[in-house]
Amino acid sequence: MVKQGKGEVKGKKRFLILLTVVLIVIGVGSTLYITLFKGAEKTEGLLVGETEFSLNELFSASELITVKEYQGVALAEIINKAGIENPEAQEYTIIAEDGYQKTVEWKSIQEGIFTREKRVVFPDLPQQYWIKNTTRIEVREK
Amino acid sequence: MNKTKILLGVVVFGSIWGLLECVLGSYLSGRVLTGVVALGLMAATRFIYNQKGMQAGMGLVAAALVAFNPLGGCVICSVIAIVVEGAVFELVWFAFPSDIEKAESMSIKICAGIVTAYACYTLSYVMGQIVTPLFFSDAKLQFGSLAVFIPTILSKGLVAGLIGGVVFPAVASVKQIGVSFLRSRQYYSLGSIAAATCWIVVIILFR
Repeated sequence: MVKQGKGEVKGKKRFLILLTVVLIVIGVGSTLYITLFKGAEKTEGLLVGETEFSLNELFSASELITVKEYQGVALAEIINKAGIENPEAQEYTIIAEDGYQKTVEWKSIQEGIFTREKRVVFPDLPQQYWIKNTTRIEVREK
Repeated sequence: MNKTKILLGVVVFGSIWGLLECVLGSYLSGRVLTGVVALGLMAATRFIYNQKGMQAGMGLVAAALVAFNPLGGCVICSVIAIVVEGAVFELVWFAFPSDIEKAESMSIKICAGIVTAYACYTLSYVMGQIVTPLFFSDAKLQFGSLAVFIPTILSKGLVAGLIGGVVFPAVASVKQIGVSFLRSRQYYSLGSIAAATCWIVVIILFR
């Protein structure tokens, strides 16, 4: 085994301390950036394209569907209610309160539901697409 | 220490890690799991066995056990995250071997904890987001969505890092504990029972 010289060890220790400081600065900087410039989007309902729905609007007149162990309104129905034209020609970015987002195709939207707990569930996609605290669905042409 | 003993250590502590992820995964955030469970177990075993590569192996065993657990969120994401945590731990400790393993001063122990936990959490999160879609035909790899969320990941990583900065110095105290006080027969029988118990609990309770 090659032994490290004292100077090398000292240099590595300094680098470790410096790296720690850099990571803390990055972490604090990111936290400040999020707090100051990307404040959490707190909405009671769901914004789809330009149309905002309250949860009562979404759940009072819609049939509830069960996907896995979750129950909710079909996402396709919500998209239709929002008056999106040519839904199959669009892609949909689902955005959570904390900015977490995923973009899905119409095919997945047709399978997905939106629960009363504001969770989006897709049976055909991994759970990192099952976005909690969904506040917005952005619609863009492909 | 002979290779069979180390291999059993990988299986035992990897199984304990996997069991804790399955049991606590639904209740604790990823930051806490990384800072306390993953870092705690990997650092403890590194001090006890002083064997490079062992923690990457533990990650593989833990990931295999988590793959049996249908609860607690995204199984594939968790599996990828655990494997990456093991690999990142090895990388960090490869870069700073003597500084970390022979750390006497509290400041170095705290720094080592922060850097390891921060790197494990942020890199495993990012890798999970990149690799998971590869397993699903309908999921697309989305660098744009990931890039938007990077500041949040770095912010969350700070919490994991700070937890690691507390956990690591605490775990460093086990440096004095060795497994040599156990006779070979006791070591093998106790180790086998512990590993088997973890797997049986996960398979019976969570499957």
